[in-house]
Amino acid sequence: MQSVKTSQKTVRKSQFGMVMKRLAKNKMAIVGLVIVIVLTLIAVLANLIIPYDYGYQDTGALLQAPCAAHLLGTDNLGRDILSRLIYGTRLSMKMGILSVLLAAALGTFFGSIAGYYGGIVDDIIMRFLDIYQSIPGLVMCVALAAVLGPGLNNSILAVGITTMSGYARMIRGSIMQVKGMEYIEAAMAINAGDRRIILKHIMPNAISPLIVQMTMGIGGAILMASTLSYIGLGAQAPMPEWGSMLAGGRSYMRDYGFIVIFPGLMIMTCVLAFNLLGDGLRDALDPRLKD
Amino acid sequence: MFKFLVKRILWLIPVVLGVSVLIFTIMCFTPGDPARNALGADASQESIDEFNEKHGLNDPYLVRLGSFLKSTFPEFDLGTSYINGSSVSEQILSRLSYTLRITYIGILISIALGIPAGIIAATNQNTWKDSLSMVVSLFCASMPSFWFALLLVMFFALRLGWLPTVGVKSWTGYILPCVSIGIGGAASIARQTRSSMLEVIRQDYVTTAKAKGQSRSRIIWGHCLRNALIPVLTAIGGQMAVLVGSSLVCETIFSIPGIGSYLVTGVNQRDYPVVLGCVVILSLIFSLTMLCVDLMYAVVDPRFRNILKS
Repeated sequence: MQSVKTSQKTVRKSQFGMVMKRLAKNKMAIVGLVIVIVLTLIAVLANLIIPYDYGYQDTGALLQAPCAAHLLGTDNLGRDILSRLIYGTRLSMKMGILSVLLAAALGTFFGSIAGYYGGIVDDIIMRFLDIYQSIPGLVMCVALAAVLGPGLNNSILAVGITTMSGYARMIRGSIMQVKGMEYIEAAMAINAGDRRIILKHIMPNAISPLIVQMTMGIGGAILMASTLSYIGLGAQAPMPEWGSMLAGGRSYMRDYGFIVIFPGLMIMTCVLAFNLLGDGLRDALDPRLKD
Repeated sequence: MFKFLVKRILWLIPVVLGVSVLIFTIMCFTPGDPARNALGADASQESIDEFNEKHGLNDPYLVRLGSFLKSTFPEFDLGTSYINGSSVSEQILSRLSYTLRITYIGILISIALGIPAGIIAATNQNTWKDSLSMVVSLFCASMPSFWFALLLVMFFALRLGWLPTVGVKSWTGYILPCVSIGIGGAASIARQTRSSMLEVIRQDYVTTAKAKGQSRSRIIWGHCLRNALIPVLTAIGGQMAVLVGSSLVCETIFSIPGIGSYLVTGVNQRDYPVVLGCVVILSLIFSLTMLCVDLMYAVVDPRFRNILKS
């Protein structure tokens, strides 16, 4: 028994090792990973590294262009843009990660029920998802945010609920692939419960594509959440969310372009990093997909 | 083929009905007081009761759903705005052409930029052209369309004064909004075109075509692209959903009186009939486009026609 366990561990370890090796060879993925790590550190250490409090108004330096005191300048209320961007990293990462976790949890729930039980349950869930996906993502998200009301947590809910259908379809597909396999039949034969079969035997097979999809989904979720903030449905002032910073700076962009350039660059860098990492992980897990 | 077409069009009915029921239900069961939102926090109880009575908000859910579906589908009456009492259907009809123009010109820009960029990348794999087009497309795909729209306004409208900042009084007014929403789609289409072209380029029939001495352009456009188009069409369909979504923000930025800006106004005023009507119509536009994409499969690939026939 012990030796079986050890050999399983070795195989798993080597699979993981191979994936990591392939990932390490992918320069773009490494660039993405490094940026993600840096952004995570910025988000975690935001309070320690911000030069000014994100709400502090330097009334003597309204719309100040980048200078030594304010490296990225100040906005129309004299607030330091760099400090707000740093703090905004925390908000955006929180929105991206939490909404993807919510989407993955909801998607896994519906997808595993549809895939495992099949038949009419599958039909109902899949037809529901067909209808659900007929509503363009951002339109659905805006409608949900409208009924939930503006705010950071509500925008996380709206983005999570909107994007869950992709995860549900993926999990359903993975479950249907392994459902007919002998080890699942064996588990059924020893009278294992449905929940145990799904969680212990089926899910581990679906976890790799799920992680890839989640990584790739974070970028999209950040983009969607910042769009919500831009139209006033996400994080509310004075919270320094990147989307709302862009909305606030819009009136001044004619003469003070830096107000809108830097928050947009941050959104783009963050989304790009998660996309690069997600692409790299996908290629590393399934090299056939590369090119 | 005819059967498929009928089946596919009939599928639109449950989809539109389903979308309507889904959005109506979400609006119905979400906490909030539409009357107070519309009339303001200081409204008297009598005026609130009158408002609820007038809009049937005191009725049970199923009665409200029934009357909503009854008025929406045979008569295309999407109700009246809570805020100004105007007909939502009339407003949507008058705004429809703007949204359609923005969205479809946007997707045409995506296709016109994305497919050639993907082809250039694939036919010059591992060269600077490939790297350049993929790096540019990666950046474009990660860029928020509303930020790109702001940058375009800043340079081409405010600094250079070449194009109007807002409004669509002439054709020049469409350039910035359509480019801003089309560029992200172009990036995704370019990436998809590259990967499916690379798959096709290695096939034996391409080698045969080269051996026969066919011209490079004929091999690329006639043999490779045609066979690589199916996944690209799927990507174009997917991008339509993104573009319809992006049009919301884009119409707001450029003050275009389309359905998207109407939806955003409805959302900000908590005007639920407006939100409901706009979501249903935008979903219908998207579903109809996806129907066209499905039909394009059959046009592009003769194998699909055979499958459909059989």
